[in-house]
Amino acid sequence: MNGAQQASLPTTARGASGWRGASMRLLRMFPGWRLWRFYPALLFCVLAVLGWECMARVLHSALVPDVGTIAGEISRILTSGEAFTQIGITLWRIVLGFAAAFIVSVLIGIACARRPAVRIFFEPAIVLGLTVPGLVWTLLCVIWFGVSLATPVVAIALGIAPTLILTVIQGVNSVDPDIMEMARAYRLRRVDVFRRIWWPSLIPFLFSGARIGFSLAWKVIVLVEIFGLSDGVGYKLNSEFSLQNVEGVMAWTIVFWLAMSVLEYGVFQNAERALSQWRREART
Amino acid sequence: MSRRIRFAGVSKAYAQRAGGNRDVLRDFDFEIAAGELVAFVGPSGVGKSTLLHLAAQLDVPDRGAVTIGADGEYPGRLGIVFQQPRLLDWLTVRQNLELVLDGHDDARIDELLAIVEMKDFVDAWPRTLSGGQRQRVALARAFAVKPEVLLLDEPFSALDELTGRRLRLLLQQLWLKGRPPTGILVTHNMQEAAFLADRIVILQGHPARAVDVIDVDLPRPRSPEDECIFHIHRRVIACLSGFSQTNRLEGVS
Repeated sequence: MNGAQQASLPTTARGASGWRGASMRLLRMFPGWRLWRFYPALLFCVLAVLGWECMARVLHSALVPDVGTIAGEISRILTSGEAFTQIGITLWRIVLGFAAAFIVSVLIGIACARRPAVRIFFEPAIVLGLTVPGLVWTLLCVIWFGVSLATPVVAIALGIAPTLILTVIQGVNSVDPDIMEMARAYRLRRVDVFRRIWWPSLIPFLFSGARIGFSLAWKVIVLVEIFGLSDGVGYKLNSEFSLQNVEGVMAWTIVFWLAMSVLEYGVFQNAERALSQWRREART
Repeated sequence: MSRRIRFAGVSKAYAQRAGGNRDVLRDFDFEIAAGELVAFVGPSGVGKSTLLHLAAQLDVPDRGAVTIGADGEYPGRLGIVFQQPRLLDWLTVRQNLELVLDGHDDARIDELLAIVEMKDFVDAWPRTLSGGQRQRVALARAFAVKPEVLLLDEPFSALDELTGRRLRLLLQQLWLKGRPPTGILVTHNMQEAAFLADRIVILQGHPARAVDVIDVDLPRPRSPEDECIFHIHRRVIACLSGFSQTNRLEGVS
């Protein structure tokens, strides 16, 4: 085994002995074994598809379409390009709303963590944001902004900002006070304290917050697109629902889930890995 | 340029969990001359670290003032070494040193890391280093700022005896390089105090008072094997144990 292969192994696998070592050796006999960490997830997907197919065959109802019908619908919306267009529209709205919420949350979160008075000032707003359902923000934004880009952006921002603010507060509070004392003793500039101390400490929390934020944003954007817009995945879901087309609803849901999975594995995890490279290098 | 440090009528009290305040310092007066290294020794909780924190401006006195240099003057560049290295794990050794510098100064960083024998680890992550190596980096960081004031808060107490001894020698080497800063050393290690300091202040009681000040009139570089160091060490121990009848000892060499 070369050095790169050695490095790609998990820490527990390196130099492992006994049954764990034997199972790793067995795993390496299969082609594509480096993807071993995805196997449990793949197994879940296979079992879910098999379970659904069994249910469809047993129930034999139009309300529970079989896997083939759903796959056909997925294929149709993918090959027509409609899925890409609508997902692009929805994702763009999510990204804008998320970006707005992210900037506001980082600023307010840091201020809340650093100044108790600021935290007390914003506390009612945060509690309000956490308790008010996304549907309320959706309805209010549709009323206020009508059919415009502002509706999804503001609704998403209002929906996810409280959660993000709490994540940022938690992240700032996690900064080692000894490190902050060192920074004060050396009279580091505020910009360096932010860039070199807070930001790296915040990164794991921000990624966690971003994941939760994106999942919340998806729930908000569907409502906004159902109630106030004429395109996007939410709108398509509503159209299929109006036609009582269950396979259409499932196809759009699955396609969007796939898009979000690509975002999770392709963007979030890679970005997190790149930004916390030092942790892996320090371990090796 | 090193600077004088003056504690003038400094009082500091901390709230106690059981209620009320505990006076750590009351009307404490002391002056450290420019370029002098003074060690504060005494039992735990006597107020040694409080003095150091006040000098670092990490805390403010309830009464009185701690001035560095002339009154109203900018307190100057400050280097500090804590008991733990307090390095940023996500920055390399070089980046940790660059952090405290205004700009990049690769030559200075390389020179300091060479003195503390860490030049080969310039791109290493702190987590990959041993405790002694991390403390060497912390030592280099303190000198990277070209300190006018150097504060040492039990800097080698978390290290094993041999590593601590090696680092004390490195500190002496850094101290002798260029114009020495004005320093405060807080330590429980009397031999360390005797080896490094120009004066040893023995603090006792609540609020703390200087029960004895011992001048260490030894030229630098000093050797840890020097018999005079052991002599001073014994005097400090004797004083702390309450056996000392001497208020001041000068010219031990």
